[in-house]
Amino acid sequence: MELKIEDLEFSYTAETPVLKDINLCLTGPKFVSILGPNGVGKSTLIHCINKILEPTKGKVYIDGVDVSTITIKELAKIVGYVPYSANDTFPLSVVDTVLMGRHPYSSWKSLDDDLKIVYRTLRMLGITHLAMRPFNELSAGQHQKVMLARGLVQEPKILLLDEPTSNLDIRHQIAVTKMLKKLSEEQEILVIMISHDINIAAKYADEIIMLYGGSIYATGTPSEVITPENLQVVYEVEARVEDDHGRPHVLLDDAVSMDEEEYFED
Amino acid sequence: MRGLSENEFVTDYRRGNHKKLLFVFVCSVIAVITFFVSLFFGPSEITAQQCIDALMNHYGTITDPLADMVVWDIRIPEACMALITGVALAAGGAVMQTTLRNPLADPYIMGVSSGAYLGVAVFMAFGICIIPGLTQSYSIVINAFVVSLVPMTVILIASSKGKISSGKLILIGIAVMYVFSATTALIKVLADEETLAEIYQWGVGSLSGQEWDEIGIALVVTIIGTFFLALQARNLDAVNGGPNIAKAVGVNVKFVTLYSMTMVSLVTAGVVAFTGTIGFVGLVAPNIARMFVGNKMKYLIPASAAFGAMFLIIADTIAKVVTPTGIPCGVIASVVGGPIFVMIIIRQRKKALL
Repeated sequence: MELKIEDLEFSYTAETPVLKDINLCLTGPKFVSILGPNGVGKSTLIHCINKILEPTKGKVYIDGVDVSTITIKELAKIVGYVPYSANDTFPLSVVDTVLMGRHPYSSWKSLDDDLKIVYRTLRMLGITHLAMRPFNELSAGQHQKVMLARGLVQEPKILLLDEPTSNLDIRHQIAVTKMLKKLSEEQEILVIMISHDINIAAKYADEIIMLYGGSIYATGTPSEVITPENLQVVYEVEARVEDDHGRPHVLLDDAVSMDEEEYFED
Repeated sequence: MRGLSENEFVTDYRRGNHKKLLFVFVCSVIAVITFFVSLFFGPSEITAQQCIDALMNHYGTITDPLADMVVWDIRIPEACMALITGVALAAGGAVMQTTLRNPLADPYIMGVSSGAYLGVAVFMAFGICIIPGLTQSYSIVINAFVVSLVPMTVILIASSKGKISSGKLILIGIAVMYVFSATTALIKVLADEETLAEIYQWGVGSLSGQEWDEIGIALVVTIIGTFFLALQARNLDAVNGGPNIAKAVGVNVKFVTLYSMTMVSLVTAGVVAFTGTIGFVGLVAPNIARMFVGNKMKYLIPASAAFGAMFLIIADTIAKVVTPTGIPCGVIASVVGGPIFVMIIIRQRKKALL
């Protein structure tokens, strides 16, 4: 499948666009990581892809189809979404939470089939034992898996993840990222994940998109994108990049000095 | 749970849901039993035997016109209204809580009921109806519905303005409630004595003094409204997950919110028009139902409705047993229900009971 973004711009207020001049073409299946500092518009970008936000300018095409011309229900069958945290006021059971991902396909009669898909997905993620538990009683890592399951039962061609590893300890960060890489290969999905950990992204991603100042600063393989020069501009850190089995590995030295004003502009 | 096969998993899930339906069934049965018990109590002095005879003979030869009148024109309508009101306010409360994602939301606290009641007062005092030329019962309901949309609109606008905390939303609701209650009070001050008495009698949250045609209107409005709310059950589950999740699974959040809130206004107006504002049941019934059946709307809406009906008919019966002169059942509902509610919240574990 192909995801194409043309001249995308998004702004909440007219003066300062959050995103501008975004041009991007991804052909899957592959595992793509979006990197960039806080407030650079990473979440906004993926929200523009699945119509959670309406772009101010520009178009998003999936396999040549302009997403603004299809309903969000149709889009939900193509694009799955996993948020960085859940904030259900009234939590459902794990099964019911995951079952929500079947909504775009739902009809009154399909419950048994939907349940079977939910079961297979839970088994794949190794969490069938949590099925009947209330969602709010789970640990952060289990939350992530449940939300991932909900995104997967949408049976998407593209899976968007907004910092799925942000609440996890290192072991779970690696496990989830590795699983996403595997999913992209086995289920033939274009997985696009926002990531904060550069090294984990570098280790598993097929392609990296680096955002800076609301635009794409660099895109390509981890080795092409993760360089000391790019890190200095985008993250404002002094770093060395070493080779680790053909993948770049970042060693952080220092933050580029910042005065307060600059900090708050971020 | 580990090692379940696919089919066992499906059966297991379904078995869990059967338990939830059992809750609905038990509440409904208790409500119906209490309905009949309530017919034996009331301000008029007639014996139990007279009651039974009146019930039996109504469609045959009426031997005791007084008892027949008491049972069929006073007690049965009142009991019917208790059930209908319980269903309407509890289902409305459940949907309002989920849509606004706030366990404190209910038609009373958020000012929807007082908006509806203002519509009633406007008709009573000035004879003004939005759609002229209808009979009194219809005019009152239409007025109640239209005016109740005003507080609902305020709440929807407030809740759509970025990230408003749930506490603030409730404060806004309470402020709206006061504005509408005060406006009603103002109309009462301006009204002449006779009208005042009428408005007051209409609006103390009393289930008594219902006419059959009013019951009919309230019943139809409640059935239609609750049915249309139930149709949104799956969409409401998604809305409960937050706007981003809802959109990501293909739910039109704006439409679902507007549709549900309009229906909540409708069912609220349908009963408030004839009973006046009754608090508590819209807040308590859904929250207690949540503890038993969980938060999935497919089960929560019927469970809240059944529990609400049971709750109000029991409160009304107690009211009549304790004081034959008839305390408004809203008072008993709060006096009895309040402490029980607090107790349940304190003792409740995180998990749903069923």
